[in-house]
Amino acid sequence: MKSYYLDHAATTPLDKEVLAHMLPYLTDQFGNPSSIHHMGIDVKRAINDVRIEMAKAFDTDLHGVIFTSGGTEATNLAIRGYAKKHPEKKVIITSTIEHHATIHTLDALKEEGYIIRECPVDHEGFLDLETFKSSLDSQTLLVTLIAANNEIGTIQNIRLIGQLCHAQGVMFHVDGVQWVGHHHVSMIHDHIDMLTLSAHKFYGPKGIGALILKQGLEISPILYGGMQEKGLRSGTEHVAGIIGLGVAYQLALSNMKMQDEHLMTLRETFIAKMKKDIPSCIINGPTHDQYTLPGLISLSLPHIKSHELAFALDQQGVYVSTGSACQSNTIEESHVLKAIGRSHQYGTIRISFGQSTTLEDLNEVIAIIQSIYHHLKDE
Amino acid sequence: MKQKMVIFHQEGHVIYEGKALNIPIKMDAIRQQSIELFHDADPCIIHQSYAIQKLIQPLVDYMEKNRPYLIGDLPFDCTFIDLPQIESCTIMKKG
Repeated sequence: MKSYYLDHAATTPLDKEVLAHMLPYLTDQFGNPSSIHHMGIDVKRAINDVRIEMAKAFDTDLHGVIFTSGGTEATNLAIRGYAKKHPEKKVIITSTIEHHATIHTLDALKEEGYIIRECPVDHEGFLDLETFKSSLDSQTLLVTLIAANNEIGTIQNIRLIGQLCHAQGVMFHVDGVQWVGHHHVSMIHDHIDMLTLSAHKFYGPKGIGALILKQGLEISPILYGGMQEKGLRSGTEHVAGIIGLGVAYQLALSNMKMQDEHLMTLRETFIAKMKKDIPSCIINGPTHDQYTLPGLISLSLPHIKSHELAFALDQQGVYVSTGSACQSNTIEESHVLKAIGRSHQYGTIRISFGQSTTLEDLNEVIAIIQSIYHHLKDE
Repeated sequence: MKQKMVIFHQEGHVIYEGKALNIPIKMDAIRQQSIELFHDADPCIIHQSYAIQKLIQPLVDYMEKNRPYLIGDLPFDCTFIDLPQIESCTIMKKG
């Protein structure tokens, strides 16, 4: 049976060129970067080369690139590390559509006495900027926002929000996990102080990410040990992962324009065909394509349940998500869909195309979805 | 590296006496060596120590024991040593 992987927002396949660069560091070049002998020094140099490239790409300095085990750890480090460094302020502002890494980090801080203010979003997932502006004050420690939502694809106006934060002297953390593969982020031009990213969202390996800090910004560590990463993230470095992250990011930058055009074509084609056959279907997120992740479609269909549709699709070789992947072991209503006012009487699936998705695949997938939908709604 | 070294000012008085590894080294030189070795401009103390050893080792290996050398006449650059008018100083490896 042919299969169609349409869950690239959950994870992407490892690029072959990335794997080729990683392999030596999984085989012959196995030194510990902290070792003071040639084997250690060679890998130390290699990871510092990635650091130099990433610092340049993000418009920051070498201290501004901290390698972590992924996006979740980077977000924890940003929020908790900054809070720890600045204990005098206790108010944090966020939105109602954040990733669980942010939500649960903030939940933990709430238990420690922090005040968390959640700004609402509109029906397309855009932050209510008036409520946001009025929330910012001298007691605000930090704003933390997801740049591109992983469920509905909404891309916030990060530059404007960053400017608003900085006008009030407030630090701005951005969860850029879904965003950095589609936008060449500059810490300076995008007005960002801390940025989370994760390699496996842009054809790099799982288990590696980074927290990017604006030049000169200081935070405290949340993990203690051998003082790697200038004391900010102890633990022996995932050398092969760092190498993979570096190569994957450079490839993402080179391929960005072409890839996004391809993904947008797939998206527009899919939506047009779905609306023709099932006029009652709803595409969640922004109406205008320029404010949405190009390859991501949150599709709501009446009279069916999300998990039933996803299961049926899986049996036919079509792999999609119901909400975000990390929630997939629960059947709770998505907080993102709730935040945009989507009725739970619709079943919603997330389809996320990738580099290798073709228009031919699309036509076959659409036929399968339509067939399964009509079958399920009549049951 | 545990070798004892003595450095004399051009006027003859001792300006350094101790282990080779403890010779004062300019931070810029350590940083430059670290960039060459590890591509790291801000090395941790352990990597600084390695960089210092890489700087000092050629000097220690070159010198015969108990023979004074005018630093300016040595066949490599010793301006990484952080002492005044170093090129007109004399250095000796004690036996």
